[in-house]
Amino acid sequence: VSDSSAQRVTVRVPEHAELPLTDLLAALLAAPPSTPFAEDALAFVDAFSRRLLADPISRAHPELMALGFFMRKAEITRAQADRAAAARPELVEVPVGLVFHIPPANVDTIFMYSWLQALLAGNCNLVRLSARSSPVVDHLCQLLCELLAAPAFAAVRGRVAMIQYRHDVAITSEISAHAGLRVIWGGDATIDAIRHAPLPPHGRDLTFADRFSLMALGSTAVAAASAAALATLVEQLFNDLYWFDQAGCSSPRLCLWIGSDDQAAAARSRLWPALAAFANHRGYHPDLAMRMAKEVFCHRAVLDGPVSARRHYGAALTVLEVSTLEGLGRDHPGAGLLFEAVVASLDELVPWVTRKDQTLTHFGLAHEQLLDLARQLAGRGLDRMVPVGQALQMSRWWDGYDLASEMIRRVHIVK
Amino acid sequence: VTAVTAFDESLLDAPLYGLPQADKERRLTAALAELTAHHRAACPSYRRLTDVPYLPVGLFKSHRLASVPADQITTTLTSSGTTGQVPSQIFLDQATAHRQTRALAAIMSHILGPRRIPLLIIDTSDLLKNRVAFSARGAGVLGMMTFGAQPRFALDPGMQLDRVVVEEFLAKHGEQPFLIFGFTFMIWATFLEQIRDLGMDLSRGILVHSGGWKKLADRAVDNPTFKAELRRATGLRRVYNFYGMVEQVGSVFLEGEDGLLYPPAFADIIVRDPETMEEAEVGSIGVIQTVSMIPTSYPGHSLLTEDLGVIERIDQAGLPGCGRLGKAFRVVGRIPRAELRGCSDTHAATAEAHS
Repeated sequence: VSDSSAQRVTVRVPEHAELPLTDLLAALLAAPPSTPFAEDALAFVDAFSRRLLADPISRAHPELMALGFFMRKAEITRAQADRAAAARPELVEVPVGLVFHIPPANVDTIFMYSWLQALLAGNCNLVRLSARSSPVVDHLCQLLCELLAAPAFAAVRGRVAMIQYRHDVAITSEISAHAGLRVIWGGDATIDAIRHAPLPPHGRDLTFADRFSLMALGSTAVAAASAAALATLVEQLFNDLYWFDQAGCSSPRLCLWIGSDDQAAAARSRLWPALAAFANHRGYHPDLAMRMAKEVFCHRAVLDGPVSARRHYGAALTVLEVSTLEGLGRDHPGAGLLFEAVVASLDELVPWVTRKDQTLTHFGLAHEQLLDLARQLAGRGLDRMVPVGQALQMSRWWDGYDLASEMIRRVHIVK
Repeated sequence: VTAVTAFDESLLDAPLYGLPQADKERRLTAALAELTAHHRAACPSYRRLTDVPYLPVGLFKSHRLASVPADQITTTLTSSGTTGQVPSQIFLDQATAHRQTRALAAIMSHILGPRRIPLLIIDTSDLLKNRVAFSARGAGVLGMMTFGAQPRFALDPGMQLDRVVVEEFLAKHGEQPFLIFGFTFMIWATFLEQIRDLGMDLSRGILVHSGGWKKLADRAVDNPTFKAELRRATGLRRVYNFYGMVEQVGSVFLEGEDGLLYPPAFADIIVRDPETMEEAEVGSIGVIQTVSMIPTSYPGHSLLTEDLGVIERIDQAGLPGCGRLGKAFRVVGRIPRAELRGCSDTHAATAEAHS
C-alpha cells in the first residue's frame, strides 16, 4: 500500500480544487458537529429541492425530478413527524460522524439520496464520485456548488466534500479509517474489494449489493382492467422497466401471473403487445449491442433454463415463459427482457426466493397476500413490495435498512 | 444420434464466383434446409432452440454445440480472442474437416492457380506447438500450409522479423510466384514496419491476409492505404484480404480485384437491418449473417455475427478483370459496445484494481 499522505484528489463539491487527501480529511473531521434535522441542513435540502424542481434541465431527466420530489419540504416534514412520533425521552439522537459514500458509477442520482439523508442526520460526508463523469452528475455538482456558496449554508459547506480519484486502495483505506459509516453501492465485487479497507472499530458498512427484482400481477385484474386502467398500468410498467434500460436493481425482470393458465393467457395477450407499443411510442429503443446481447442471452436461457416459450414483441420487449421457477437463474441482460411464469398463488414463489431478491412490484393483489408472503419468507429475501410504477422510486426504506435511522446514533440516558 | 444425412453437396463443385445469385440461392437454400433438419436431429441443444434462423456466434463461447458423438470429433478449434475473453469452441469431424479443406482449396486455387507455390508465413512456428487445440490463428496458418510448398516462418518466437529466413526465401523463390500469408495487423505493424527500409523485392508475391481491420482503423489505415504502402515499400501488387471466422469453417469471403469481398458458391452472406433484423437493402449497413453448407459436425451453417457490413452490389461483375457474380460486400466493423447502465458491477474496474 502506497503512502497516501501526499495523494491529491480532485474535489468537485463544494468547489473545484485539487487537494491533498490529508488536508481534505482534516478539514472535514474538524467541522463543528451538528444535530439531526438541524435548521441549516433542512433549509439547504429545501433550497436544493426547489432549485431542482424549477430547473429546466431536470425536466429532461425524470430521475432528477424524482430526486427533487423526494427531498421536497412536505416529504421532509413528514419524515420529521414520523421521527417525532417515535421519539423516546430517554434517547438523544446524534450523528455517526464521517459518512463515506461510494455510489455506483452509472445510476447518476443515487449518491444524492445517500448523502442528503446523511446530511439531514447531521453527519459530515465524503462522496466518492465515479471518475467517469456524466452530464447529470456534472449538472448536480454545479448546482450544489452554487447553493453551497451562499453564506447561509457556510456550516453545511463544511460538512461535505465530493471527490473523484482513480481506483486507489491507499485513498480508500485512508478515508475508511475515519468513517463512522461507509455506504457502498454494488456490484458485489465492489463491496468485496472496498471491505478490504478497514473501518475504525466502531465503524459500520451499509452495503447495497447486486439485486434481482420481480413483479406479480393478478391475472384477472389485468384481463378485466378497463382500457383506461390498462393504459395506466402500461405506463407504470414502462417506468419500472425502462428508465435505466432495465438494469436498475429494482427493475422487474420476472413477471409472475397469479391465477390459472387460462387467466394468464388472457392477461398476457392484452398486456405485452400494449407495453411494447407504448415503449415504441415513447421512443424506447435499446442500442444494437444491447439487443445483440439480449439475443445471445435468450439463446443461452433456452439452453440452460426451464424456458418453455419465447415471444418477441419488437425490439423493446422479449418475454421468455418458464414452466417452473425451479432452476431459473438470475442473470439478465436488461434492455427489455422478462421471464414470466404462471402460479396459482404467491405461495409458489416462496421456495425460489433468496436474499438476492429485492423488490416485488404488485398489481391487483390484496394487501393481506403481500403481508402473508413477507411472513412466509421470514427474511430469506425481498426487501420491498411496492405498487407497479414505483419500482425505481427511492425510499428511506431500502434493501432492508431504514436509511434515516442508520445515519444516526442514539445515546441512552437513564434518570 | 443420427449419422450425417446425405445432402446435395454439388455447390462445392460449382463455379466459385460464377453462379447468378438467384440460381445459387435456390440451391444453397435447399442444402441449408437439409442441414437444419440434420442439426435438429443430431444436436439436442440446437433442437431446443426451435425456429431459429441463425445462431449468434457468441453462443459457441458459452456452450459446447456438436452434431456428432464426441468420439467422432477429430479437431477442436478455438477462437484466439483477446485476453480475458472466453474463446469459442468449434468441433470438427472428419467429414467437416474434409469439406473445409476442399472449400479452401477451391478458393485458393482461384487466385494461386492449380500448382502449389512456395509459402512465406508472416508468423512464428511456435504457433503450431499445441497440436490438440488450435487457436484460430494456428488453424488458419495450418490450413494455408496445405496450399503452399516449402513453408517458411518469417517471424521468430519473439515476433520479430527473422531477416535471414526471409532473405533466403526470396533468394530461392523470389523470381517466381510465391504465396505470403499472415494476419492483417501483424503484416502492417511487424512485417512491413521491419522490412520497409530493407529494399526487399516482393513483386512476385501474392499476399493473402485476414484478421480484421479494427486495430488498423485505430491507426487510420484502411485497405487502400494498406495496399498502397505495401506496393510502395516492397513492390507487392497482388493483395487479397479475406473475411471469415473460426465459428464457420470454410466461409472464406475473399477480396476481388475491385477490393470488395465475395462469397464462394457454397456460402453466402445476408446483411440484416439493425432495427428490424429483416434483410437489408443493397447499400444499407447492417448486421452480417453468414451461411455455409460446410459444417455438419456442429450447428454452424447459419450464424449471426457481431460484425457490421454492407452489400454493395449483386450479380454485377465489378471492375475489369474481376468478373464475379453473386453478392459483393464490405465489412464496416464491429458492432459498437453498449455503455452499461444500472447499479451492478459499475465499479468493476475498481474491484480489479483492488483485488
